[in-house]
Amino acid sequence: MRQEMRPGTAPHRAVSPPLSPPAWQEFVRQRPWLVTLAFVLACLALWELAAARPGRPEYLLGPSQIFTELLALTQGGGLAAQVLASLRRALLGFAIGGGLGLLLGLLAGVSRNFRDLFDLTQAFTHPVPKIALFPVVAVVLGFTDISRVLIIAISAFFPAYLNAVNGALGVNPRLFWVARNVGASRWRSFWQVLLPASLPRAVVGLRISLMVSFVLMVATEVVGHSNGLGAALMRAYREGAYGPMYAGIVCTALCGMAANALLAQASRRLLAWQAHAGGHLG
Amino acid sequence: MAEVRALSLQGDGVHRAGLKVLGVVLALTAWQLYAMASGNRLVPSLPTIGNRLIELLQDPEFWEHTASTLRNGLMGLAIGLALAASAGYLAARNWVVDAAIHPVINLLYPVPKLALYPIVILVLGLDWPSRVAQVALECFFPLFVQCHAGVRAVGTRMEWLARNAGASSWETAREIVWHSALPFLLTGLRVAMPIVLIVTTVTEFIGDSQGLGHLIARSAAFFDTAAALSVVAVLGAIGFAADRLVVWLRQRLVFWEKGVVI
Amino acid sequence: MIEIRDVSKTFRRGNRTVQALGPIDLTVARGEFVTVLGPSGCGKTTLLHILGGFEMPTTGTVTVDGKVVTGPGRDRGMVFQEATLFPWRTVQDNVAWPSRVAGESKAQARERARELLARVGLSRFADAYPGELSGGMRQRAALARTLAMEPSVLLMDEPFGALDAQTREVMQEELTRLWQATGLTVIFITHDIAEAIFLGDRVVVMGAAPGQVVADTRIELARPRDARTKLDARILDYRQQFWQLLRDASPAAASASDPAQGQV
Repeated sequence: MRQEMRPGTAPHRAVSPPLSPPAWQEFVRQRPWLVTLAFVLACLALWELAAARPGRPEYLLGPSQIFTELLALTQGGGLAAQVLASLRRALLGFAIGGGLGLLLGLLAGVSRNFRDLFDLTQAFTHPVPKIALFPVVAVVLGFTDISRVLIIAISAFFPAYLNAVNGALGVNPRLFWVARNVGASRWRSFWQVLLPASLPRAVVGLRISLMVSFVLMVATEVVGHSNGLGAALMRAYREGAYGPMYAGIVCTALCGMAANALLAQASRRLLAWQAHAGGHLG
Repeated sequence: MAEVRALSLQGDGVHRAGLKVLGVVLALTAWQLYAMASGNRLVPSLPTIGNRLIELLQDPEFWEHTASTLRNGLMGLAIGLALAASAGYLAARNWVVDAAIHPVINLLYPVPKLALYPIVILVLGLDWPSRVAQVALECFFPLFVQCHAGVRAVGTRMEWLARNAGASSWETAREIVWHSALPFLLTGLRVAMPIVLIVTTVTEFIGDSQGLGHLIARSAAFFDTAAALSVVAVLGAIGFAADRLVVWLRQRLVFWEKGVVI
Repeated sequence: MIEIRDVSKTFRRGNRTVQALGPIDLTVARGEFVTVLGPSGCGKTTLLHILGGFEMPTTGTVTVDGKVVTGPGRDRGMVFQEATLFPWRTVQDNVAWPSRVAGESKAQARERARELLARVGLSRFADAYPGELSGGMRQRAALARTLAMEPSVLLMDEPFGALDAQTREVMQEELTRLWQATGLTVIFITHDIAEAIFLGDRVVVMGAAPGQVVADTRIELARPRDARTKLDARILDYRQQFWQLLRDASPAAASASDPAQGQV
């Protein structure tokens, strides 16, 4: 955006050296969050304007309307119950599926036999979208929490399993030699050497598992009869109650983000030692 | 080293393969036993499923549904990829764009986008466009992250080299950026495939429609669990094939990275 | 107290059998510092692994203090080339771990760890993580951890190989000082001639293909040794001697360069 200097013209004001940008640009560059903020505010403003325009579609609500709706629901209308129902399912499914995936993955990482036994079965079941099993499971076990948590757990299992296996495979074998040298039992080696050593990679899998758990939570609530956030917002949609629908969506989004943030925080704590890591560790 | 590998493939190889097959046999046997023991007509035995599957494969309606699912999935993927690649490229090359959109994308990543589906339906209707849009929306995120990383991964030295040789922006992009970003893009595809399949299936559960997901829901509603499970198996086969395809694509296109497992 | 009798190790490659090591016959007395010198591929690391009980010999036996070695044990502490500390534990927790495994209480283990860290000069870094330390410091911590096992034998696999020249010299002097104070039996592997001479009571030279003992020389330098020992004229003779032995023992060694070659 700099102006070319035409030959023969001389500026009357001092020209800053050609390579240094204007001060304000430098200021913003140091604080990129300003750009983020500006962008988000601009989007919200546009949205609000679009929602306020006469002749807008009925379902278009602006941010301010959604906010008031959300507040109303929190105070009055059983939002807490929905959230609890949904969260319980998602977290239970995550705990079971992710936990099992982690442990079995670690086991498969150290035991060639176990890994081979699991290998083909895992390869065949992995590509199946587990939500596709839900209608069948629901028919057999009913539209209950059991069938929902089961599907959520199965879906959460795989990312946790695969990453745990890779984590375990990547552990420096010398670390186990140290354990044997010291006379540590297999049990101790599993929990005190294998687990912490595999954790960085395994945690990546757990974070994916958590996200998957939330997606499946919504998916299982949207189909058939249910309670919970997914069901509530689907119901609101069908009844044309757009306010509660948006509120439900925002609520679901917040739950997903909160859970993810908590796990990220927890893993940062657990893996604090990695922050100090150089390249060549044992 | 080659000798050591050969050693492990000889006597060892049979042992390994044997265990793998044994694993599948055990799993299938467990299913069969459960089906027989539960006496529940709704838990079909393996032969029942097998027969139903063969029937389905001969039914032209089934193939219509399959075509519908594949079409929606691939369209959604293509749109998502186009958007992700453009956004990723722009964000990686321009710090302003990056500062604007990247944090928002990161923030929205863990949100279950399926919750937004009702809005998509309201805007685009109940038919296939909303399904395609939902797929595009959901696979955008991992694809963006990968494309962004891919464009970012372009070595500074390589760019300097290009500029030194007098290459224009377009030429640099075509030669260097494309090849540096390609492996990342393919990894992104590999991650996106399962997402496409899941989203397509779920969106087909909802409302009157076509597609394999719809077929599953309908079969289950009529208590034809054998049919539903057959379709599930077909979906699995599609997912498996798609994954293999991307892996093969990577080996062909990113031929300079030998022996890399994504 | 260490008896290596007729030990050999063979591998099978395809349909060929490759004899990597042996047969080796060696005796090490209690409290001796034996350095094993040899080119890459001469099997010295394999020998150490067999001593440690991590690999089994194809023939022969290893006896330590009258007991045949059948597996790893706390009486034989290994120190590897890479420090192999647990990156998720602080230095102190790493050094305390062997004591905990043996059943000691947290307090006891911590106390012992503190002692050992003081011994190796790492007291200030007790609460640091391995990732924050330099290579030399990590090796000291690894040594402290191995000492925590209260071994009677120290098996060291080129522990200073990954360090820069100056740190290496400092570590050598510290190691010999430590050994002097503890009286442990040490078997130390290296391909560095100067290091072997400086540290060892005996230098065992190994040749490659198949790995076997080519020479077993007593080093007549006075004990205790320190930086001044390196100025002793006899070092050059030993150096020449071993250089020649290594060159004869393995053509690969001949192409390696020894800075001392230029002299005399």
